[in-house]
Amino acid sequence: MTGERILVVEDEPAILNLVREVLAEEGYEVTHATNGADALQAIAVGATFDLVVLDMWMPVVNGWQFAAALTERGLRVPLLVMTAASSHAPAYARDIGAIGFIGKPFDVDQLVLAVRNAVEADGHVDGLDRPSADRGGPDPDFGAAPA
Amino acid sequence: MIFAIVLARALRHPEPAVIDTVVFFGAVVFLVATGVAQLFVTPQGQGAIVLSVVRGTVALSLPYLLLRLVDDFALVPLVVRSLAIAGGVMGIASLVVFPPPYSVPHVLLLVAYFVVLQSYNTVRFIGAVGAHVGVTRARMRAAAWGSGCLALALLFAGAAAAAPAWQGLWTNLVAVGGAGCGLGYFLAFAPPRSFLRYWEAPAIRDFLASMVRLPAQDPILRIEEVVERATAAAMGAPNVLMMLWDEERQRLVAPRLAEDDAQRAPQPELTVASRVFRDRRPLAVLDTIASDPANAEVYRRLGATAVLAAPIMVDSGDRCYGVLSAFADRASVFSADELPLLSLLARHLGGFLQRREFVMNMRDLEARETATRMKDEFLSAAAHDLRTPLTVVLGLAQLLQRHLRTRPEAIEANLEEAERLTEAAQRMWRMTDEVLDASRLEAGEFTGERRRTDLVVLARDVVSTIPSPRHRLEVDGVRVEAEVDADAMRHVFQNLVDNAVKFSPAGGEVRVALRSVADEVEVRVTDRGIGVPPHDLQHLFDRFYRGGEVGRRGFGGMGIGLFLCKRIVEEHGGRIWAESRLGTGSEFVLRLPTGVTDNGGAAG
Repeated sequence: MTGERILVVEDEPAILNLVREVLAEEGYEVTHATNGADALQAIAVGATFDLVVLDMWMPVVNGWQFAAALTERGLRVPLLVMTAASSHAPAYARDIGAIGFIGKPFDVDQLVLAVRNAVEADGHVDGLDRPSADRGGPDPDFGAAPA
Repeated sequence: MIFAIVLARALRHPEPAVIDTVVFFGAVVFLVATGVAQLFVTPQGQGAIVLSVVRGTVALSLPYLLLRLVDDFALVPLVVRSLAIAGGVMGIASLVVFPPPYSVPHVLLLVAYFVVLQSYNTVRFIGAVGAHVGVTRARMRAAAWGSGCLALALLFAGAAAAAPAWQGLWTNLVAVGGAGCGLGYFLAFAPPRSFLRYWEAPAIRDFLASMVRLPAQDPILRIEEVVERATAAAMGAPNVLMMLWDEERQRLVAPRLAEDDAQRAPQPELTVASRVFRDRRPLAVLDTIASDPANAEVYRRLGATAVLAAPIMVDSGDRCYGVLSAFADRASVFSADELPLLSLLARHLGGFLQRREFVMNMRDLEARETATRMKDEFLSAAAHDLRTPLTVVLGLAQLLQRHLRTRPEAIEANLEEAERLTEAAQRMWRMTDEVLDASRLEAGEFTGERRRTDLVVLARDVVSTIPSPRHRLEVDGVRVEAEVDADAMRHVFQNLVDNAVKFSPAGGEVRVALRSVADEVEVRVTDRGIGVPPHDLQHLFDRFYRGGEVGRRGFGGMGIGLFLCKRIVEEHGGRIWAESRLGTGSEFVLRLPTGVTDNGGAAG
């Protein structure tokens, strides 16, 4: 399973680098952003992603706002919550309809596993929960959501 | 009847003032009794003369005896006393030398002596009315009335001798005067309970009113001041002392005298007070000098000749909070009667102190609960914030492990990874130090000494430690000095600058401007960042507040950091606030007094 495009959104540079490195070694194509606004921008310029690894507490645009903005634009990207508030991780994931979650700190193997599961499960969930037509569908200006 | 009451009291409290009262009323009773006896048995010959002389003697001694009563509450000049005695002795001698029937001038002379002296007594009683308050005032007024009536009655008796034509009129007037005198003295010297209560009511009402207005959490010194003033007003006593039992020192302590306690020992009010505290019963010592001659000098110096003391306790329960005592340099004739009033006030005070104890305990409990909760919150926030560097350390360590297995030959790359791991671990080390610092500050341990510090230098120092090539950092100001705890203030600057950098976009400018304004210094940390919405602005300095737009909490973020900044700044007697508009940036302003305000520097 290689070649999937993953966007890592994390404001802490050291963690961002770590995650990028690990995922790149696994063969994923990794793009990054340091806050929700930059991440939206990356999606807006037409990139499509198979998964967004999303930190929740970030300056400028946080994880919730990022997820809300995606929904607002009718974009459907699988999200994986990555948070230091480990005990709240499931709740955060539910908040934004994420496909999975991982707490910080994590074992590298755990991260890899979580990302792999998320990417693999995506097609399945996507099929079940496609954005409905009345919500506008994919916006051509912002690139299509993965289908 | 008055005699019976005062006699009963004299047997209970054999004080000089009370004994004087007994002698006076004893004399009155003798006159009345012999007068009544004459209606039934008319003594003949020699007996009649002797009785008449004795009655005259006793009657003439009345104004002098009353003068002694006056002397008990207000000093009577020696001249007056000598003249009174001389006049009395001469009068009595004249009775013996010129036996009855008495000539008119003789009688008039005796009446004149009596009336003049009695008028003097009346005037002194009237004077005492003004000098006293509450019950004593009412009783002094009654005594003045009684004395005045007695003087008038004698005047009329004299007139009867001078103008016997209107004998009937004079007899009636004498009777009216006598009745007035009796009523006045009755109310003054042996008032019924109901009268006392009536007179006490306003004093008690005023006392309760001042206790009700007194907040229970006020400092004890303030409470003592109010209590003593209210008690003095109610009792009409010149000095009132509230002493509380100090469990630690195992002795009674007057809060306001706690300082110079040692040099006041032995305390006369303490000896009476400690007896009262031990027995849990009110006590009146109307002549401390006589009862404790060893400490006579101290009593005199304090003006504590007469001491009334009552235990401060509530009706229910045997808890005694202390002793409330009233003392004066002269015992009023009625002093002993005021003991029940003092007891009543002391019981009300006991109720107040009990309520105060409840309130204080409750506040202590709340403060402890808050402290515990804060500690818990702090701990969880610290644990949360340590997860970030820990994530990096753990991740890098595992990555290195993996690489050592998969590419052991790539020594350079693996070494570089090991270096990153070391760096990450060092960052975490710094962070744990910060957490410890924060917890130390949190616990209120501002042990740092305040020294005159150039805040501009401090600001440059802080800015130089921030590795942010993405921002333009600027410090503006020349030699702005204040007395601060440099370590604590560095914490504040670090926090504000970190925040400004964190919430500024790349290339944004962060400016620290310092200047002196009158006797304050002003520091403004300005950024062109995302700004703070108005509804967050007012909560920015609350503990653990996370602005909706800001998102992240932590020491470097907007959680504990600003709360601690506020604490430190306020500890220095300064203020901190934020001004901001969403989208255009924020400005954090802090003002500090230049110098040490009061006890800061010397105490360290």
